[in-house]
Amino acid sequence: MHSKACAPLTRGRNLSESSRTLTCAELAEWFEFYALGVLDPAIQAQVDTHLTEACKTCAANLAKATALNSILLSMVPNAAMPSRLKHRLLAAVGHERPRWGWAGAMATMLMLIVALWLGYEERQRGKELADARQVLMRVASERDQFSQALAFLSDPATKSASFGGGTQPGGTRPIGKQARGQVFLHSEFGVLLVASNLPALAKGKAYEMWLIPRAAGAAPRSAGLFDSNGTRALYIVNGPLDVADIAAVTVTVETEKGSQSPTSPVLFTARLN
Amino acid sequence: MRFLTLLAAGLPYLLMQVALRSGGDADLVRRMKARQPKAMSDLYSKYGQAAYSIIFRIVRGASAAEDLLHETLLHVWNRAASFDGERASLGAWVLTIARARAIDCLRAAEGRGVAKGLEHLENADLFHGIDPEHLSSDATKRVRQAFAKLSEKQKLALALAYFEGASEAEMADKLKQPVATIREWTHDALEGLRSAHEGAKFV
Repeated sequence: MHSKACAPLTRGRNLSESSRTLTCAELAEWFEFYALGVLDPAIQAQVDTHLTEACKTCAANLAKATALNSILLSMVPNAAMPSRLKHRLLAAVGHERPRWGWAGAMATMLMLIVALWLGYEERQRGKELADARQVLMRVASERDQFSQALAFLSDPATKSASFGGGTQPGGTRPIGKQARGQVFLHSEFGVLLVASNLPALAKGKAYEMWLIPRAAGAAPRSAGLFDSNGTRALYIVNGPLDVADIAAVTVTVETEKGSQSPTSPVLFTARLN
Repeated sequence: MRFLTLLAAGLPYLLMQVALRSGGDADLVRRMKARQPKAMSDLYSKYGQAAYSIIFRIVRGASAAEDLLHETLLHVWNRAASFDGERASLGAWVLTIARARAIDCLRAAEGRGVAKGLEHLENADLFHGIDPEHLSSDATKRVRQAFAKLSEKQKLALALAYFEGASEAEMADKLKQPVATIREWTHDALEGLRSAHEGAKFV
């Protein structure tokens, strides 16, 4: 360890200008460049050696040179500094939240609007898709019904009877002058009812079709519920049927859950020969 | 008119002096060690402008300068525990780190490779023995006056070393002068500046 100025070094490398070693006083001329990291490597090696050996003179000279360097650096004219830099630094050490600025706020708002619009569009497309699916199912159902109705009409074994036109025979109540229709019975296909101008019913109510047996005193058999859109109704009861045993087909108005036996006056009756 | 020109030229220097006198570095370092976020705000207020100006002078780009100042001050913040604020100059440390980072960036951009030893020069121990308030001392004023008296050739050579990280050989190449001439210019210039810094009358 050096307690005073170092003696000239004897193991220094060759320098760019001379191969001799330098004293502390001579090295003092190089410390500014040493502290800047721009010193000739040969001289830098000598400075490193002095500092490694804790030469106090050289350490003091290095401190002076570093101080002078910082003064010279501080003489640079001021450059305009962006104000966001301070906020960025303070955010980095947890002193404040990062500021987004107007551009960030606008971008966020724009993204929010786009997201809301996309969400709305998606919901609209979903609704339209559901509507289209419903229409498709209704069309398919109607197609099936017409196909079955055609089977009834085209088979010679089908029996039919008409109804409609004001007050019905047998004490049935009037259902309107325009309401009319036909029922078709087939031993394999079941029963087909086609009606026009049958009034639409109130909510909770439904038309119920009854099969009236020929046997005297036999109770009517429910053939199921159907409704009408006010202009036409097409109702099919599938299944094998003993057509010869059926005397008539009647319709009443019941609750939408149906009844075990007619609970209201018969609207109309279609009698089979 | 001449008065206004001089005032405009000296204003940044005066503003920096006001910033530098606004509080003791020892207390600032103590608060940085205690991880008080307000200390970062004070560090920025005291040395941010000077460090940014040095970096901007070297890299010549606002975006890169912004990133490098951010890196510099965070480095100081994270290494504050190793710094003796009572016996070392925080200002010299900050400005040295700012310059080293900017020179590294410049050398990389110019394909010159990273300078050797710059990282070593950021070591907090190297700043021990420098008056903590030396940047706001009279020495700064004397150095400034001495620098103004240097020849343009000397200023140019020193600028290459300080702001481009150029070695003597690189300075000689750029200024198209022998290394010996460059050495004469820079040695004479630094000798005068050194004298001014240490208080001797500079002629």
